Amino acid sequence: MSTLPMTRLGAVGAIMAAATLLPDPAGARYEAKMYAITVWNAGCAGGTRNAWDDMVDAWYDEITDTGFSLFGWCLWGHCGDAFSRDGSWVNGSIANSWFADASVVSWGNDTPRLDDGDAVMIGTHGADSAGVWSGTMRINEAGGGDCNLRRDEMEIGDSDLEFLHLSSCNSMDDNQWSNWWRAFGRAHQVDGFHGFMWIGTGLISNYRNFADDAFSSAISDAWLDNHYVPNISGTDDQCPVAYAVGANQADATNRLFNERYDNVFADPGSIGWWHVTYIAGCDPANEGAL
Amino acid sequence: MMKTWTTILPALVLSLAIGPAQAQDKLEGERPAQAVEALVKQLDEILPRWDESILQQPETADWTADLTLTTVIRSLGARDLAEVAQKAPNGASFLQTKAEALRVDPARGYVRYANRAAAVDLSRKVPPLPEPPEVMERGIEILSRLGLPPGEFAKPQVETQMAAGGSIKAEKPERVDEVYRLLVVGRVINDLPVFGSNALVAMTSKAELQRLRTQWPVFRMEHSDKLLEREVVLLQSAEVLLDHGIAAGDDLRAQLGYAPVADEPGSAYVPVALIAGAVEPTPVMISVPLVSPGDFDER
Repeated sequence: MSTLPMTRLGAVGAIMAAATLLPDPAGARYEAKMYAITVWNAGCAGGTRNAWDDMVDAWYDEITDTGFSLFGWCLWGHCGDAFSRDGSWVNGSIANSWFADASVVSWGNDTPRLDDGDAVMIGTHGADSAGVWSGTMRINEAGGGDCNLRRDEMEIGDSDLEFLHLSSCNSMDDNQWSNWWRAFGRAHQVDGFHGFMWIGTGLISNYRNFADDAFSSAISDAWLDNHYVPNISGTDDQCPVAYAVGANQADATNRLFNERYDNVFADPGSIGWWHVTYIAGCDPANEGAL
Repeated sequence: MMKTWTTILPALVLSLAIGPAQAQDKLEGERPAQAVEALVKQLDEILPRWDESILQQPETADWTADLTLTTVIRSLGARDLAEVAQKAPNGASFLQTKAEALRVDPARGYVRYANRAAAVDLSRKVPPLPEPPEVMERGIEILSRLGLPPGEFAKPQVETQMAAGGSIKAEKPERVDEVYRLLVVGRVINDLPVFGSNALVAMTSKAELQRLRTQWPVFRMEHSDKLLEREVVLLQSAEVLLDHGIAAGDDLRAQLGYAPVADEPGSAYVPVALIAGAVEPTPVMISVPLVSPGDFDER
């Protein structure tokens, strides 16, 4: 949770103690979850990335920041629109079955995990495996799952999930766009990266600001505004892509450009169209320019 | 930045206490000496030199001193919000109507404005977007009127936000549109980039403001900060990179810049070595401070 500036506390301090005694409306709220891996030493291989959990956690803290309201005015945070904290998993036993769907692979069990949240962020190494995003797990699971979660093992939203955010390389490469819709059950949007995305403590605030901005403006715009970093390495860009589906073109684009954390649409009744938004000419490492 | 300092600072303090040569012995005791030496050598070749001028505090006014919901609404001419703002209690940092939303956090130098009514409507043909020179001029004007110091603007870039889509039977996008023109402005102090500080303005085909975001905290360095020796910075950088499995010969790029000490509102800035490792499976960017805290600094 972000630190509260003292000036704000001073402005309303006299009544804060009483106001915080009001019942928490968490039961009515949407749920957020996060999964992040920083160290791969439990059966699957991958280079250590110490900042990853801090980056994802910054998003998780912000989207669930209830802040403070007074007589119906939300003074800071997201008040009644904030998502509830439905779970944070860092390292541990993060495994393939947590994200795979039983309707696609027999050993999948995403219903109590990934698909139980309304907005979920996953932070892990990623790659493009013949046109399919593949994320590296932490343990090599017995019973069918392995070290790599693949997009074609997923069906998201058939239980609950609306918004999936992938802090993972190659999670939304342009050659994957025409097939990502296959992983949608009744989910609304998946956000990821074309080419390499970067890890660093200096990028933590981008994750917090993404969550903050997605209450004000479209989730897709917030994803681009905070994760597009031109010349991040001195030469390569970081290239975010937001992806939504809908029954038809009008439905998909309406969702893409108008859905917010505080303006969640009904689940798509069917999927007939996909649409993305991105920055023209964005040129990352490990992929060509968009 | 918290993790950088919490993980780096103890090692820096150790390095300073026992001196660079002994610090190298320690590192060599934990890692193959050749790996450390080779990485330090590569870093020494790519990391620019620095001197005391990097500690020069810029003399710019605190643009956030008068930053409130009301001042932003007035600056942007946000009529819908102006009415709501009159009823808002003191201390409010967020306002919204159906058509507009605004959040302001002076400690972060953060302003987020969204003109929701101006969101692109792809059920119709999108008219051509304004030309880049117009976006540049109008975007700079908007940011300057907000109070951001133009002297800290890096060379602005005009970008185009695209939309593309297709039916589920299509293998390629069947429709591609330019939806917004973006002005993206980085920040420079003493001709060096300020990492994680930037501003963005999005405009519609009618040259209306569609959204805006600033992340432009007041820039403040501690006067008591003291420059570290180059050898210490190189060793520390090598240690952090090796922790991430990055070794000599990998694709590394380095520049000098500034970064906040902690990922907290109001944090002071320090000069840093920004080192990017474009390595698989996921590239890394580290920022290693070029200074040690002064004697009375509690960080």
